[in-house]
Amino acid sequence: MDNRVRVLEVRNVTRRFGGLVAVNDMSFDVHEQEVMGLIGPNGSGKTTMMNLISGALRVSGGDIMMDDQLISDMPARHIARAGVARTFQLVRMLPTMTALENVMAGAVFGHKKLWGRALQVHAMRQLERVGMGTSAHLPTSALTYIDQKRVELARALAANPRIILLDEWLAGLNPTELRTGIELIADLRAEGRTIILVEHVMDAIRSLCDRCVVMNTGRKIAEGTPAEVLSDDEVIRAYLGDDDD
Amino acid sequence: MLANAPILNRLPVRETIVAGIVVVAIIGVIMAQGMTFGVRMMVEATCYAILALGFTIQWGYAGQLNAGVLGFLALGGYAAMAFSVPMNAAFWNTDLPQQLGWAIVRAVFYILIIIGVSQIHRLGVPKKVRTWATIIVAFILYMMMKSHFVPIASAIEREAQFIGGLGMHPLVGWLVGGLLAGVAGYFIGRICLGLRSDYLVIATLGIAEIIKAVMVNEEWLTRGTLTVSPIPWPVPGPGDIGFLAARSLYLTLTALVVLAIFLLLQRAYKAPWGRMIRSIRDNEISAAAMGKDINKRRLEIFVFGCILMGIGGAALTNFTSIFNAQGYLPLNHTFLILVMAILGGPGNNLGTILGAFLVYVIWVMSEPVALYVMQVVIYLGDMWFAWEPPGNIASRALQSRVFIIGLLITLILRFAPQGLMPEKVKHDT
Repeated sequence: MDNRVRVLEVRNVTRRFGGLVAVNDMSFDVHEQEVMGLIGPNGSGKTTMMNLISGALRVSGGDIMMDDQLISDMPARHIARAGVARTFQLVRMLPTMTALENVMAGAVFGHKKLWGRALQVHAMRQLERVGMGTSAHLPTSALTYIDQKRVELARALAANPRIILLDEWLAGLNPTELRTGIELIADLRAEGRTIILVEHVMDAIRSLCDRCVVMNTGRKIAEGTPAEVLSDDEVIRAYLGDDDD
Repeated sequence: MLANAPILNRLPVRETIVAGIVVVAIIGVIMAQGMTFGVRMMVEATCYAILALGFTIQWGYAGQLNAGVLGFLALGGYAAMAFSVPMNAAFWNTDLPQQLGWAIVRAVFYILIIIGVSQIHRLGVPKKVRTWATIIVAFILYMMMKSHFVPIASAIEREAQFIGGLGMHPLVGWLVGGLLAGVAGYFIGRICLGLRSDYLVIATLGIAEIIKAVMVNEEWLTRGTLTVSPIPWPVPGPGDIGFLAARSLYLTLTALVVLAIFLLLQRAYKAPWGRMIRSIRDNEISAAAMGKDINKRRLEIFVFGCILMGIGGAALTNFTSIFNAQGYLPLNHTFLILVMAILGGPGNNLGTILGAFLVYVIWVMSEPVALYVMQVVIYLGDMWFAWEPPGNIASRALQSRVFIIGLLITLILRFAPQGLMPEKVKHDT
């Protein structure tokens, strides 16, 4: 697996919020066409790590490289244009626009520049892909939370990104929806995209992830295949706590 | 037709009702005060509509509360005066223009030096040294520049009063007024848009006063407190074709300008640029994650708003036909416009235009209505109590205008904080 092309390189990244060290000296690589799971208990710094990669937050120390570009120095908009798209754990829709307009807004700064009719068709295809084709002209405020998450994924896909960051995108889906969701992510990998997902749904992690990085209190405590890390003693301790005896 | 109609696909009931109220109010004014007065009021209302549109895109689209409308309005007014007033022979027939030209060349040279010094950190000089060096050099060169300008300026004031105008078509002045306000807005925006919105209010308020102070004091440019009049109109004036016809022509012109601006704004709203602006307005973080350059777009909005204020200021000053730098007042030329935009619905262009008309009717009619009410009070007081009113009661009644605007703001904020035509704005920071 390690002879694959490395697209993202996280080196000794630290992020402090005042006295709190939310991400502490994290290092890992992500390879081309890989689904990498970023897991760990609540409050372990996963979402902060995602925000650091997408540029929504600045690193306090360390470097993040995408290919040969140092993206940890770049503003979020440049990182987006370099080919990183994301969804948010708490969805961030554009509430005054329809679902279609939301997706169109995401497409304008993709690798391909699209305008007018071509843009509409492109945005519509992304919506159909996430199963939202029939709701394209509804205002996003009329959509359920799950549907808003789907629109957000369509918006991320519209930019035709190389790396997609999914922050608990599968959370809250019912079993049927979960299966469709997992298939969709697998499809995205098959297209050649690289995916980093923060997730608590273990079924999804087992069936999707090629590799996992486990975080606890801002540090990396394990890295490997899902089977390896989920049987790791320290990971079990982080999730379930120490034995009492 | 409307900005938010395509989403809702509803009948424009609210819009029709508000427009109806405006039409009835205007007819009422015409019946009470006569046609000539009514047309004058409508011309001024259209000028205010241009100003309010400038304000509403800044506030409604980008959340920038610009409390310095006055300054951009005054710049527009100055350009309208400077381009249309005839050439001043008393100035041009002396050697003063040549002296002034050389002083300007020197000033440009000094500015280039200052820009050069501000870049010395590229040669390896520490940034702290650069900053201090720039400040000191700029200060010294400013003093030198002043020493060139002061004797020329006082010579101009002594021999020709002021440099006069350029004698061009007044519409050139309107366009340049927009441009001038836009350039000023660009530099102010570069400095101030990083501020949080409440600080932006204070900064713009101060900048407007600076612009006004410069205009009042640089008499060689503006004639200062002596005022410049008459400013020729872009359409035939009252002296040629009579008051009503001339004002009607002027109204046609300003109404066309409002219509053109409105259509362009509605077009931009639906275009990719407008969608980008709306995406930033809706959620800055996800807009940044989609690759939008937030600061640049915000600066663009600010500059566009200032351009509209410049054009509106030119139209308004041109109509009054007198340029009086001291006549630009925060109440009349900033807060009145603010009230118009809030009443109409910030960010809603049609609402803002109707709000401008409605508030201006209230503003204009507050004087005669207050006088009428006072006369009734005096009459009844005399009849029932043999009350002797104070002599200056009529001029006191006129002060009620300030009271009415204050009351209006309070009522709007209490009962319609989103305006009469709310635009679905949700700022997310």
